[in-house]
Formats: sequence, C-alpha cells, structure tokens
Amino acid sequence: MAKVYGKSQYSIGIKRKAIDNSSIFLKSDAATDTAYQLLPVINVSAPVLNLIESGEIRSNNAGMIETNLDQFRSKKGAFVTLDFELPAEREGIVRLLSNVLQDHTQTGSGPYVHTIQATSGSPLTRPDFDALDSADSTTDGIPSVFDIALYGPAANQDKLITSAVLQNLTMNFDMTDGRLLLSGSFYSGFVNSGFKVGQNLTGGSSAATLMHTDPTEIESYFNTKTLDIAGSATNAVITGVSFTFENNLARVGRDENGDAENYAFGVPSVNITGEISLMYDDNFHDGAANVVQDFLNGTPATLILQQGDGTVGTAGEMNITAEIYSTAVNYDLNADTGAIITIPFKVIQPTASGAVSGTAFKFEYADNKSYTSW
Amino acid sequence: MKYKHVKGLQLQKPNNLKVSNAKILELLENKEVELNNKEVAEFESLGVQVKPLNEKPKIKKVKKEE
Repeated sequence: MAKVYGKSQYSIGIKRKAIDNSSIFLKSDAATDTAYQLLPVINVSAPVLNLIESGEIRSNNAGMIETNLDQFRSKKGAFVTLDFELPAEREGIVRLLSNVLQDHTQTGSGPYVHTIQATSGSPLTRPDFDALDSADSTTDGIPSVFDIALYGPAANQDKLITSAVLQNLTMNFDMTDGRLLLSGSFYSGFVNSGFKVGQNLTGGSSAATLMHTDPTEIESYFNTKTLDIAGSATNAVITGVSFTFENNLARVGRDENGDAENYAFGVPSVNITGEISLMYDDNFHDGAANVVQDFLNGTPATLILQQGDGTVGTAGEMNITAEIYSTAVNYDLNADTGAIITIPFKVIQPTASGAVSGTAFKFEYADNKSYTSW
Repeated sequence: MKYKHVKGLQLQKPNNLKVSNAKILELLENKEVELNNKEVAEFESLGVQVKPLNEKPKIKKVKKEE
C-alpha cells in the first residue's frame, strides 16, 4: 500500500539570495547546498505554475475535437507563485516585511532595531534587482530576494524556486488566535530554468535550520493604540487590525531561456490597505466631530500601534504608524463583544501645502537578528 | 546583586529565558531580585533593562583594643 502523507512532512525554507560578482543576480540557480531557514508554515501550499498555454483547432481536422497536435504549452514566459500562512515569529517578521516593501534600515548591535518606512523624508524607492553587487556592499539587505526550498516527504522529491520576492503580504493581528498571523505569496519569474523538481536537498552539505530554536511568537496586543479624532490621538479599544502590502511585482522581458530579465516593482504603485475594528464607545461614536464624520469628510487619521513603551530598543518592541484614509465605515451593532465599528482603509502619504510631508507608514521592530544573517 | 525591572521583560517569552520563572515573576511585580552576572547578561542581550540597587555600605568593624 502507498503511504499517506501529512502536511507536516512538507516544509518551506528561505534564504536570502546569495549575490556575488561572478554571476548575474537574478539568473543564478537557487543554491542546493545552503542552509535554508524553515518558515513556521501552518498551511502549506504547493507552488502554482502559471505556464504559457494556448492552442486552437486547426484545419485538416475532420472532427470537432482538438487534437494533441493543436496544443501549445511552454514554461518559457511563465511565473510561479507560492502561497503561505504562518504565525509571525520575532526572528522572521522583519525579513518578510522588508522583502515586500523592499525597504530596510538597521541600527544597534543586538538588539537590532529595524525600520521599514514610507515617509516624506525616506520614501520607498524601487530596488535594482539585477544589480551586479556583492552581498557585503548591499546595504541593509536591500534589494531582498529569496531562494526557496520546498522539502518533500521523501528523498529526491524536493523543489527549488530561485529569485523569489513577496508579491503581497498580510499582517493580521488576530485577537482570537492571539498571535500576529502572516500570509502572502512569493513570486518568481524563473520557471523554465530556475524552477527545479526532483531535488535531494536533505542530502546536501547543509541541512535546513529553524529560524530560531526558541521562537517567540508576536502576540496580538498593544500597549498604545490610538486613532485620530478631529486631529487628536484618542485611545481605542481594538478588536482586530490588519495590513495588506501589495507591490505589484511582475516579471519583465524574456531571456534566451524564456525567463524574466528583471522584475517591475511598485508599478504603478505600492498599495497598503487594511482594516481596523474598534469598539463604539465614549471615544469613537457618531458624534458631530467624531471618527465617522472625519472619514465622511475625507479626513485622514493617524493610527498608532505600539508594543512596549514606544521607544523601540528591547527585543520584541514594535511601533507601527500609519496614515489611514477610510474606504468605508461599517457597523456591527450585534457583535458578541458590543457594538463594533469596522473601518477598511488605505494608507496614504500625507501632504502639507501640496508637498509630501510626514509619515505614510512606518514599522519599527527590535530583535536579535541582523540582516546579514537573513 | 539585587536588581529591579525597568522595561522590556513583559515582551519576552519566559520559556526561552534561562532566568527562572520565579525571578521573572518577582521582577515583573517590581520586586528586588538577586541576579547573577549570567542572568544580567541575558537581559542585556535582549535589551531588557534592569537597574542595580545600591548595596548598603559595609560598616567596618573596629577591633576593640585590648
């Protein structure tokens, strides 16, 4: 009888793409002998191959059914995506968020304070993905590109994805689960030569490792949680908040193997959207100059979420600042936990006198992992 | 030496610390807790701030002249 495999027998490892001056950044194969760091994936998905497919019935066919000769299918020009869901752990969140926004700066020497931001003084910039650069001279780990290893349940059943970048990432502070949950999808424009099956990675010289042997989950609570009402930061009782980052990553060009020649990033834009649910109470209600009226007027508000005392320095401290613009306001007056206001939003860059001014989105986090070890 | 907690300990997962759970609880309750150098170093590596309490100056015993 054949074996029945469980999802725990599959695992996904990532490793920052090794860059050296002897090979072209994006086009080199994923390493087979590197120590991939395993993602704590709770829902494993197989890679989705989006092949080029076409074909139609041709002449010289007396019947009405297409023949096998009519079909066309090619790995050239294709792309592969890989969906995942995992609980955010202290050692992994910065790696993923900096990858999807391609922004990162680091200070400190342990704990390291990581900042990912889109502000008027430090706007997001499009990365140079095909730069011929060495890892050491790539400042702060950007551009950030991953090789991905998919470990199968038996020898010679592993897969490799090369030069993958997150196309989207959702951070969901799930109050029911209690943890920050991350979901998203990796994208690679290298299918013909870069996507490999039938690998035997466990037999390589470097075994996969856990991101951290004693992981610390990021929990869903905040010491400070304020949203502006008429321009004043006001404490909110939050029952759920999430952010979704989309960078519109897409392959560009076709080389001699039909693989991507570069990636377009943020064309036409990088979109940060989300949803916040907060209690209808003395602070947030239908008053004349309150949150609903603000959003009806099209007034943006500053959302501040902090774990810790606001001065990020201790491992685990987190600050999130976002300028949000409501895309709708919904009520759930029958919620189990009282009347709840839910505000879907998009993050916008504030301006002053017509010029960009202030913070659109800023994420600061302290951990004990330098980007050099990603 | 005895220490008091300043900030950051509540963000750590007790299971992952080498400092005993009893000491962690007492620090979080703002009590004075005896910590050895290894325990202080572990806190420093995470950026957890604890402040040493000044030791009482030892009173020198004066030997009585016979």
